[in-house]
Amino acid sequence: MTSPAPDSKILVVGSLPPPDGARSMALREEVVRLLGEGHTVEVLAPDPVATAHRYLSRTGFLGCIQLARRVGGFDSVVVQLQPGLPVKEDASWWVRALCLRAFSIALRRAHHVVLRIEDSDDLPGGTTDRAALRMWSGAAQILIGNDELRQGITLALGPMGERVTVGPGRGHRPAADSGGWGDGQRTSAETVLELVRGRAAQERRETSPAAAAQFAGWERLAIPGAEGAESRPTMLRPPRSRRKLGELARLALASAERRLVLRPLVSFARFSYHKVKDGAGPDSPV
Amino acid sequence: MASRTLKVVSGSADAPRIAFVAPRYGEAVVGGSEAVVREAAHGLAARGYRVDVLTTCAEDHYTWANELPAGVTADGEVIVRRFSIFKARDQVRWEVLQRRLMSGEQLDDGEELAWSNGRFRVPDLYLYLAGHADEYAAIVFSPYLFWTTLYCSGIAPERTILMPCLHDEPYAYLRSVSAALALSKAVWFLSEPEHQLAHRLAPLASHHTVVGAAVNIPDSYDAEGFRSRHALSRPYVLYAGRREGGKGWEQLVKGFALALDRHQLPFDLVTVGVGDPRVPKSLEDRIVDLGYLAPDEVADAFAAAEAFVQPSINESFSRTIMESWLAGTVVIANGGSEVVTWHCERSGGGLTYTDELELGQCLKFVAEAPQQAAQLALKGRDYVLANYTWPLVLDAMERSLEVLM
Repeated sequence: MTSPAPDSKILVVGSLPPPDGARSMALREEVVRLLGEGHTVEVLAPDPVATAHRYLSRTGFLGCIQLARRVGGFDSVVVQLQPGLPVKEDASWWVRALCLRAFSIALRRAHHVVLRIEDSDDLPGGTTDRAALRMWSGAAQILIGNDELRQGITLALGPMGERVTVGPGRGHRPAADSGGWGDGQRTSAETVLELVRGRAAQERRETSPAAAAQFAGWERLAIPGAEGAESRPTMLRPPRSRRKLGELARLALASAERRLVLRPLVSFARFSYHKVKDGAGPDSPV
Repeated sequence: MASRTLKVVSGSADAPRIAFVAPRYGEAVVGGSEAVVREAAHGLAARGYRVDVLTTCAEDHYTWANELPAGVTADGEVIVRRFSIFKARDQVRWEVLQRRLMSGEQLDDGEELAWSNGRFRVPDLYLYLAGHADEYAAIVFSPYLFWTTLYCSGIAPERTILMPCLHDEPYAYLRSVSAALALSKAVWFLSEPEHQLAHRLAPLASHHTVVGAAVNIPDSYDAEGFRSRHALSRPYVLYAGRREGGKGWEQLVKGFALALDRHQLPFDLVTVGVGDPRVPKSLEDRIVDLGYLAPDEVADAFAAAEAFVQPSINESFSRTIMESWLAGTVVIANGGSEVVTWHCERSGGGLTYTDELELGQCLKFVAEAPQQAAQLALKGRDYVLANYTWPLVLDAMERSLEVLM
């Protein structure tokens, strides 16, 4: 887990209380921790009534543009994802894609980016689709508020999941003596099943990825330029027959994408493909 | 200090640490609750507590400008931590909400927060408290109306004491005020009417008590010297405090003009304090504005006056009437204030009026029967000495602090 250098100037983007909530309280803890480490912290909130030094006057895409203008001059930027930052709850798929892209571009101006998410609802539309993964990949560190979400994102990120951390003392953490299956009141068959699947998937990935059903027939390739056998990042590649079809489709889409008028259609096709591929949606349990 | 309840070792690093949180703090700050906070902070520090005051860089409650540097300073034994104020660029929304609030309209939760956050905010104070609240045995927030209380009193409710200084005004009916009254660990009231008002507003924290307030007793007064220093040739009635609508200043000017006209009174109206008094041209030779004066000089102003007029209905304690009685000066007060009426009735040291005509008659009484007026004032002085001295108030505060320690 990387931390900013001592005496850093840090921009924290997100909403502190009020109103009180798990997300805002968790961010408050983070700000207090950073201050305790001796950093200078400025809080920039999308919610106009939250405790903050400054406010984003817009959310969604326009908020991302504002954010791009604010991140310069800080050693590190910590962003708490929440509805409206960067994606509004009612955003259509293409607006969502646009917002995520704008958000990623805005954060490129920052030296060191930490992304935080407490709950899957904080990023409307899902946390593991392509646009979301592109956003995660731009962060130096990702802090996730609960184990279930962490497992999903870790898996989706693949080797990049090493930077994913479950933040301390936040979210609905399981009771210490329950084996992490829920804290009693929140336990339901649904949540247990999610955990079962998530943990099983994690085990498959950690112990024998090649044998895991989900990855049957897929090759594990080294990423060029990566060093060290143990920690070498890898990417997965589909079997040859499926690869050929996929490559053809990608070529066709890339060709179509060169024409401005066809770009929305291409985006729609990509989105539909991932939706169908993932079954229940881009954020379906793994 | 005979009835002290806690064994606090003065100067000890183990002594309980207490914070007072107030929007403004300092000797030059004019305001009743601000004065109570400062004197209570010093009083508890003198009794051995380690006392911090967490406040802003502002002195002027009209501009809320950052006039003092942020950082840590010492005010005697009290550590003062000042944090910068941030103000909203767009005041229009706040003004709209303010108008709706003053017209009696109820705001929804989001609007209440927008109103609270719209005048000024002190995020670094909030974050300091979020990180250091557990270092304090108790955190006393006062008064109720400002961001410093409405936003910060919920950070550590288990060690929060609210000293609201409530007035019966639209702001007191905000849901966030009710929540603060109910969720704080303890509530300190300055007077019984304030306590009763709070019961009408919200369910109260189980531990709430009337601790009262106090004023410092001057060693001596110099009435003649005050008159000569300020070239006051005519006898005068005094108004001390903020010259603003919410404190009844404008009504007082109007009533005073009417009284002069009807009764040919010999008095000038002398005023000390802050705010633009906006004296009408027709009264320029009868109203004397001395502006802000040092506390000692204010005490002399009370002593030299024939009467002190308290036109404000927004009082939770009214330090000025106590100062007037201590100086041996009779009080004429607006009967619309439950608190001031309560003090006047209990002490027998003051007259209350309900309209301009009654104000005129009260002034006429002082002009025509100064000795009887002085007799009333003596009753007031006895009342203050029996009830509102700092040793008594600090004893009450310490008894209450036991709950949190």
